[in-house]
Amino acid sequence: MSVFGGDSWAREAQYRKRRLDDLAIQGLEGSSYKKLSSGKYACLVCPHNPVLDSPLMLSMHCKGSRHLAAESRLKERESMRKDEINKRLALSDSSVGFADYTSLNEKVRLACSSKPLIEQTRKAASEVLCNKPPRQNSGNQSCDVKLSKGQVPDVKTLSCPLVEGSSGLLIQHQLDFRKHRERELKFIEAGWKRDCHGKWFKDENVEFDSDEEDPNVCLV
Amino acid sequence: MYLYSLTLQRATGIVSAINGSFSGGKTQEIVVARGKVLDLLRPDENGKLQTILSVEIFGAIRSLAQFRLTGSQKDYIVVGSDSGRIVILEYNKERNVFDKIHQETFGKSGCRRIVPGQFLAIDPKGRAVMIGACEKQKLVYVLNRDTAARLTISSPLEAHKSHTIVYSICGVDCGFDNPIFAAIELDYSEADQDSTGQAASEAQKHLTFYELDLGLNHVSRKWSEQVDNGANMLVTVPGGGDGPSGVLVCAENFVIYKNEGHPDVRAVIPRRADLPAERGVLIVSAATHKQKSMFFFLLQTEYGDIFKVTLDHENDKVKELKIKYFDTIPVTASMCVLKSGFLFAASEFGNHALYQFQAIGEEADVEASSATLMETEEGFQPVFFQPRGLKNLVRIDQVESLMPIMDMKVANLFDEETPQIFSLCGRGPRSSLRILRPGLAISEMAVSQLPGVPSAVWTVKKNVNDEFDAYIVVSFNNATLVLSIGETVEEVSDSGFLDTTPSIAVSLIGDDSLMQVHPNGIRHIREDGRINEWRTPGKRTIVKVGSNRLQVVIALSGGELIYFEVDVTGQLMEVEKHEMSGDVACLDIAPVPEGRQRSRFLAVGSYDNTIRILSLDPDDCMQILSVQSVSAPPESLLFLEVQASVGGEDGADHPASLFLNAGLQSGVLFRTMVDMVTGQLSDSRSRFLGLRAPKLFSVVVRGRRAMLCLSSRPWLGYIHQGHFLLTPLSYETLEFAASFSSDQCAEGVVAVAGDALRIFTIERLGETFNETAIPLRYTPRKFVLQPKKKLLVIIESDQGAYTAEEREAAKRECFEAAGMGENGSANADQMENGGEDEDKDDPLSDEQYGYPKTESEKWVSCIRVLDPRTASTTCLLELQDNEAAFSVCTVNFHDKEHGTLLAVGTAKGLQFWPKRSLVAGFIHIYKFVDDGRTLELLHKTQVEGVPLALCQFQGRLLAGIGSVLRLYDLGKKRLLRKCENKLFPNTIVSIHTYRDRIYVGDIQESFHFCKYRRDENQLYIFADDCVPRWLTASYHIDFDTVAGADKFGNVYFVRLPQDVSDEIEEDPTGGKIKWEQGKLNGAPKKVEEIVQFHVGDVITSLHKASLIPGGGECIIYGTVMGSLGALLPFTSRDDVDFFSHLEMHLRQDHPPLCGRDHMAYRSAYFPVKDVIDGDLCEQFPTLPLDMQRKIADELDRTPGEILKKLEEVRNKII
Repeated sequence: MSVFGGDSWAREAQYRKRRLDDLAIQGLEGSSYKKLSSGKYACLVCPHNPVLDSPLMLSMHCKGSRHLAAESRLKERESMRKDEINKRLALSDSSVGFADYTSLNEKVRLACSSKPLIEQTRKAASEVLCNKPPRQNSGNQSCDVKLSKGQVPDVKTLSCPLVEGSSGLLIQHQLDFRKHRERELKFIEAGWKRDCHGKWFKDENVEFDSDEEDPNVCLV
Repeated sequence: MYLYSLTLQRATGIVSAINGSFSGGKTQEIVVARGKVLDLLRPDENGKLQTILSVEIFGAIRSLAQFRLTGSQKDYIVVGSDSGRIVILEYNKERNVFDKIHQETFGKSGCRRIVPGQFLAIDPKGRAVMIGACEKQKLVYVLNRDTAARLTISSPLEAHKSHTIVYSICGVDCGFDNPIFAAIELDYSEADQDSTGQAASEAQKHLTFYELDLGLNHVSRKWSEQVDNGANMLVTVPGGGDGPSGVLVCAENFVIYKNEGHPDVRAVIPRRADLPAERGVLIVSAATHKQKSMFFFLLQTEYGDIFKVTLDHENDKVKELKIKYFDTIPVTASMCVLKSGFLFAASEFGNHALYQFQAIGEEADVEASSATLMETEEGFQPVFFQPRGLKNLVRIDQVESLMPIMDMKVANLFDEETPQIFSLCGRGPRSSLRILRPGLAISEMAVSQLPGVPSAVWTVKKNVNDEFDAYIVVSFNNATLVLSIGETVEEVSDSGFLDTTPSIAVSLIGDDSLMQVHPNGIRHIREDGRINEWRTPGKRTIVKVGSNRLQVVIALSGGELIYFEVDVTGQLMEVEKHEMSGDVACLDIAPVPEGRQRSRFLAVGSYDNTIRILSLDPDDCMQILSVQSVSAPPESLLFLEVQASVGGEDGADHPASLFLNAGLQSGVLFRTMVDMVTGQLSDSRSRFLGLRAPKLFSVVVRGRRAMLCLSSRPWLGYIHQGHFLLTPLSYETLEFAASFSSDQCAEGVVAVAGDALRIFTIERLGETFNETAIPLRYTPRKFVLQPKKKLLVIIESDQGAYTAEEREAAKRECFEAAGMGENGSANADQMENGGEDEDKDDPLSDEQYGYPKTESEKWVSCIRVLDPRTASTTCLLELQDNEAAFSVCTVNFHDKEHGTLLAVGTAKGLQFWPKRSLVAGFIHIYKFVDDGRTLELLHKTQVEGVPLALCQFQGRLLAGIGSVLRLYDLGKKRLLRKCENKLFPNTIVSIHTYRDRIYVGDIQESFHFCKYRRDENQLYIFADDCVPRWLTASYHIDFDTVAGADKFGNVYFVRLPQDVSDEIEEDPTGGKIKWEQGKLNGAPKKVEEIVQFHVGDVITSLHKASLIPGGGECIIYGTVMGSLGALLPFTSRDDVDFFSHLEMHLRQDHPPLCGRDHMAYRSAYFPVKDVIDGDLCEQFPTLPLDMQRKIADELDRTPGEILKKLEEVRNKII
């Protein structure tokens, strides 16, 4: 007969143990450990993921100096990564020209808040690009449509008259840049390459038509 | 992803055929092996081949043989398969199944070189069977009878000889002496040892006789002698009193009679006059005809010519061997001479045929004989002949075969309800484009115009015992027309029918009187001409009628039902009245059950969306037994009784049952089972048939009740091999129909549509598709669809053939020589329109005789634009200069003015032997002119390999040239190479693109996923498959998934893992894709195999399509053997569980017929993954009833529910 007495000692003992475990675990953050299928616990913070037999041992482990050191290292790394992501996003946004414009534009708007570095610039740019032109006049419809399709307007089809004011200039600048980039891409696709001076030359493995345009001439 | 695999059309090609009397007695039957399907065919009295039984065996049949024990009346079937077992089958006539009598295991499964199964030989007296492998092993089993006259089989006796290749084996007929088997063998042991190759060049084939000593129970090599190295086939010569015994050795250019202790008797095989000298003549198939007094052989050459071989012998001494030209038919895989005077020719490619013998070649013709054989210093003197039209044979039936399907696409070019399947089939001159439509073919017997627009039609017999119908009654708005059926169909006025009023129903009532129901009453015409008229009370009219042979129920306007019965004197008596709550929409009475006075059930459909079952029993007359609510008001009702069946013709066991079918106004057919005692309704199923409310009619097909449903197209519901099949008919919309039976047409249907009366019969029950064939000139390779212009562009090419001009010239010459000038001129036009209308009068149609052969390095090829609607070729460009087309695609180049262009990849002077070589490869660019109907060459660009794959990509052309993937832009004079990637392992055979991804299929190494980077002008391979797959077909499924098929008969899906896909797409700097390296020259990422299934047949084309309107999309595949199948993705986990359990039970309780384990078969090369075998599941109804119940119990369902589930999933596909 057990010291706990009665027939239900086992259940009670079980209950007590569980209660203890709950209490031991309560203080720990959910993502810092994992309950394995064997019922044991693995610490996810420490780099070698030690496996501990019971919640009690886990809680003891979590108070250990090694664990604490690992935890602080982890936090540090996390914050560094966040910074890096923000930085890269900012960088990637500044080179908007290459990629699909609208989708990026949308992304920009969605992710505005998380990128404080360039928020202001972007705001200005997106305002200028997306909102202003339609308000200014209806004569540049074609330009608008093209933009929303995510394509780059061609110079020839761009019928919008130059808009006065700083914002107008800005659009023009942006459009020019993208147009330029798109034409560059066209030449790259066609097999032109650039040397270290920025001069264009023909890739020797690529074939060209006899009357093909020379980017050295037409991209000046 | 879980898929349900279902064969839509079983293989149509034949690999082997045998004939005999498998059901016993005098009937002649043919058993054919179609790869994995074993069929029993029987020519019926009209000379049409009927498929009696078709069984999927889940294994590859490699050889077939039949034998008969002495004194027995019945043939057994021996099957050599890839199961590593010999299986002896007996056809059970009563249950219409093949019974497995014996199954003896002797080796590993699979088609291996030393595991027997490739060759089978039977002792002509049925005492022993030899089963041989391609190499080394041969086993002999002794067949005998036990005391109860059952067939017994001994343990195997070995006749192995290592280092020996076997070419052919056969039994030697030596009467009742010890059984002897003959084999053509080649011993390669010396050649294997000798590295100089001298021994190999001196290797010699031998003919070896193996004797089975029945006394010692032992097999020994009895005799061996050298034969020609060109020997390829052995044919048994009758012996034991019927002939000289021995064998015919068929060798290149010769047929040699050989026997132990007998000098060789050799005769040369006559050659076609136009055959190039360096080509030999080989025999490819043989058939023996043996009667009491005589025997002869029919041998067919590889060019299709059949020769009759006779032996002039005196006792056992053969004096002369004669080979006489007999006839020419397309090259066969097997020929069977039936005792009933038929020749069944199982074609190697294209349609099979049944011929009837007109003569047996007694007349004089070109003949080679051993007596006149002349040997000169250059060898033997050849004998020449010119093929001619059929003289001894006449074709009486044709069995369609799609083998091989070279390419297939599904599209709705005809704007029909369902899409059409366009498939390129056949080879050489017998190639065709076949347009397949789901549905049964019908053959129209008669169409005749009527004076007005009829509203309904019925047929009636005069007496219940009559075989044929007596009258066709047609009802118009205000009149009724009566036509009598005899030699001709003509109008009569003495029938007693009231012709000044429309009719609502006309039928035979009682034993021999007729009933006409019209809006104002019932007219009862007795056999002796007396007429009783019952009139409706007041001003009410009859709106609906339901009747069977003894009972009639009419519905009056307002909803009153009046019930009549035929009493013992044949009078129609009113029995009961019943008031319904509202108007009656439709009525039907169940047929009178066998041996009963009346049927118990009346079904009444009302406009309140309900169907009620009312009792007609005297004690509870007009009581409502059950009510079923439906989704829309019913328009038409039909009780369909299914007779109990134990095996029998349809090969399935099922109890008798009664089904109530209702056509709803929404176009849905609602089908429910009626409890035969209580009238309770259960197990309801519904299916959408078309936009019009289906009208239901009972018809007879193959002697059984079936249901014709007329919606926006007609459908037939019938029971086939235990399945209830509901299949559309390929016919126009019909208004009203009735079954029709007359002298000329035993089981027909008469229908009205518009102002015409149509009589037709339904053909080839059980088939899923009917086809329209358009002949092509050469072997079709690939095609592209132009959906907007509804045109097809087909590329065709053949090796070793003459071009059309050369052929025409040769033909004309030949005709001129024969003095048939006019025919030659007729052929000139034929050539112009592409030889597509193979002239029936043409005495030497290429379809029949094959193309004249030329050197194997010569290619002919053409590009054809075809309008499938008119079946006309609008443009045909024959490629010149030994060039052949291999790939085709349409391409829109960006910012160029031409619009859609056609790119064709060709090779010049391609040779495969002794080494693969070519002069040059080209990519032709054609412009479509004349609204896409004609092609105009823009330019052609030389490339260094064969462009086997072409595809449009971002306004440019991607080409797979050998192992190079190259991107071309359109230039003024040629294509401009812009970018390339040379890192592919072997040869690129397929390219698919989606957005900026490119999915490249390698001939040997499965798929490679590539990406094109614009800013660097580079193609990168970022992922590949880790399994080497020999791709034969591929299809792009979604952004990350592609489906492929390999040459070993597997179909598989690979998918890029989601995280890898994301990583590839979100790589802003592009550094990763550029610099990341894979291990062992592979790509950095690997795709995962998500689905894998062994189909057992080489898939040549894959396509994604939905074959029914509104149905789910599935992958449709076509195979070399000419079968079509579908892979349907499951949409619910429950279905997956259900079907995998059903499959598991069937695997256990119903193992495949030829001894291959089902699981092992489906996992033959790679373990099966996530595919349920629907073909196995559909064998459920063929199980015995208790087995069905047992499996159903374990699945917690009833057999009916399982059948319903099977039907449902089939209906989702087709």
